[in-house]
Amino acid sequence: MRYGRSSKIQIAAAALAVALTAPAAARAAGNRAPARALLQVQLEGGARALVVGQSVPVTIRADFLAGTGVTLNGEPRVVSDGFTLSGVSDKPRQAEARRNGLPYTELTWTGVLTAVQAGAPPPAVELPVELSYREPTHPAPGAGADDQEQESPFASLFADTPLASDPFFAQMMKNDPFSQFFQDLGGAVRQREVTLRDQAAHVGVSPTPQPSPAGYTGAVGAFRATTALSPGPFRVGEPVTLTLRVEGRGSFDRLTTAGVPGTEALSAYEPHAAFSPGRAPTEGTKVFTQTLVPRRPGALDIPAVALVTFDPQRHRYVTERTRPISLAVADAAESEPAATAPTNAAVPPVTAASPQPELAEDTTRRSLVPAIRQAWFWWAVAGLVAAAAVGSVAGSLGFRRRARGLLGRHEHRRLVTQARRRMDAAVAAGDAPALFGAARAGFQACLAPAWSIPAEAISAADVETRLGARGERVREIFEQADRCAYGGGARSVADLERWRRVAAEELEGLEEVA
Amino acid sequence: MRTRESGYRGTAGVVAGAVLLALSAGHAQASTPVESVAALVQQAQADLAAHPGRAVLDYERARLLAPRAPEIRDGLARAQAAVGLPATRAGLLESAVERLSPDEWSRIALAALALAAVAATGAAWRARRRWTVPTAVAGLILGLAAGNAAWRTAPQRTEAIVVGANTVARIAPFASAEEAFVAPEGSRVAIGRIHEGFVRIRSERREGWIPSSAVEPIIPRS
Repeated sequence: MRYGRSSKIQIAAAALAVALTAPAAARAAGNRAPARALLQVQLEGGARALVVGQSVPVTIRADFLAGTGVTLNGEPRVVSDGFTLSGVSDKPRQAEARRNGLPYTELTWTGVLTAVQAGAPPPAVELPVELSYREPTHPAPGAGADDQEQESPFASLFADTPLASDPFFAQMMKNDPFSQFFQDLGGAVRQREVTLRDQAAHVGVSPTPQPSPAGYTGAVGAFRATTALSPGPFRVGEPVTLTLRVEGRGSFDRLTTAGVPGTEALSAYEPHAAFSPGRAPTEGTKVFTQTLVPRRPGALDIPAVALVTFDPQRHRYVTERTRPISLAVADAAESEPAATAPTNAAVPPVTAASPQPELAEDTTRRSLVPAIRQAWFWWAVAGLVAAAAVGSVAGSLGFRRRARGLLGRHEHRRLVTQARRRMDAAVAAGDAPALFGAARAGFQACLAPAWSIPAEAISAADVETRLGARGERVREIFEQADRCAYGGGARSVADLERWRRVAAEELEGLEEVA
Repeated sequence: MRTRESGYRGTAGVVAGAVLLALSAGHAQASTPVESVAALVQQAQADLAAHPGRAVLDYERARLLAPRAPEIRDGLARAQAAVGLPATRAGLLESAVERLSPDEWSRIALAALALAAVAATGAAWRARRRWTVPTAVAGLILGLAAGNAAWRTAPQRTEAIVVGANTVARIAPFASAEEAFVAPEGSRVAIGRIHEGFVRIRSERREGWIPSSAVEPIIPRS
């Protein structure tokens, strides 16, 4: 079965024909007409005087006559500006009960009623429901026990028997269950949306004594506070957790604290609160945790935290003070700081926080997004793959050979230049053997790669055979070189200059051959 | 022939230019400091007491930048203990991989792939094939392995940490929907669709909707 804003509850039992009666009317009518639905609000401890801010457990009970279909159209709500209703259980407790001998189904909610306005009238609680039931064919509003006896279909059967004068039998006939059964036959099914309502009578709200002390935030109840500090050692710049634990009974939602104030020696951050409910609705534990950061080394006193509340039992304000804590703070640079345990170290810390060593070195980035999750990384990978693919395809398509041709031409140019320099030097020196020798060496170097034979092995005969008429002057230079090598020979400067020009022209012309 | 040679040179130039442009873009992005490990650790220490889930997030982010810092490893374990989560235990291989940050693995992968590209091109040109072929193969293997490590160590953009306490995941994106499970504070989840203040999360084969404010991705939304 689910309960919510609009939940349906079917109360399974024999349908009994009774009139729908408002609770107040039902109470006024006494036993004459049993109520089909009834709402009751009960404060813990009964009716009494409350003060503003005081919270008390409240029990809200709705009774529905067996056989009535019930749809809850909402949760119980308080109808009063002077009270708030909180902590109402989502799912009511369901139980079977008997009232005046009739079966009822009880739904019970628990919650907390808090007084917020002095002089407010007693709080009323409402519960919107939709009821479906069968209308009796012979309604008996205000009918007494005698009327019921007369309407019993079995009464006439025993009228002339000795049993009629028997008081025990008469009582049995008065409670004849079949009478209700016959009344119910043929009745129409009715549906009604009604709002059950009850008022907690005799509840008064008075203000708290004025003026209220500084630090009072409206919490009413009985509380007990303890503090704890996270374990040392303590260093400058490292956070310390101060835990303020408040246990007790009362209006915890109004219980707040500013915590330890910041000083020149201590940075203090805003405390955070966490509430854990206890067994009773107004019981629980509220834990305030505050982060403190020492700002200078040496002895540090963490002042006591004051908690101002109002005790309704003693009808006076109560200031709960925690014990101050002294601790020794080491410099951040010290590797093994001398630490002093806090004075109330017996109280275990709430959190596992403890100071941490400084980071050895800092690392900074523009973004936390890893490179592999960014586009540039994949563009770089794609570029590398493309470069490798292009390079490999180029190599396999013979680009290498063409590059070698480029290198061959470059080499030829280098050899021609080198031979020219040597020839120029020989002409300047008037050295004919050197001139022809340099020219022949240049021709051999240029022709050797193309003919695939060693340079030294190329002779005038090879030139004549391979180049034919085109190599006539080259062959002549080879022969002149041989003659100079074996027979020497003096030449005029003009003659040497002419041979140098011839040799240079032929070297240039051999590029195509190379 | 001249036209063909010019084409090869042009292609090579364009590829080299693209690679240099990509590398310089990455370098430029990495060179402007914004996220600081020290700042993240300081934030985590401040969050540890009151918001341990957020401290876990801060340490996870710091670990992206400085995976070998023992302070961060210890701090993360402390934060996980504070929210009641078991400390992350990695195997030998995983520990070795996590010694380097995702960006360090990415750089190694790029360098290895560049070496493989050069060596493969040299091999195609029949230049010192005794060295170029093994170098190309080794570079390719190293590049792929480093890339895989970078992929594994870098969190996905959908990975997130639950920063809210007692966060209830529901079967539908509204507050009154039926509860599916409780997402532990500080736990790592995968986030999905977002709908009117709720985000769909997946955690250990369970799925549900939680308020957007209760979860934050490890890689911040840009």
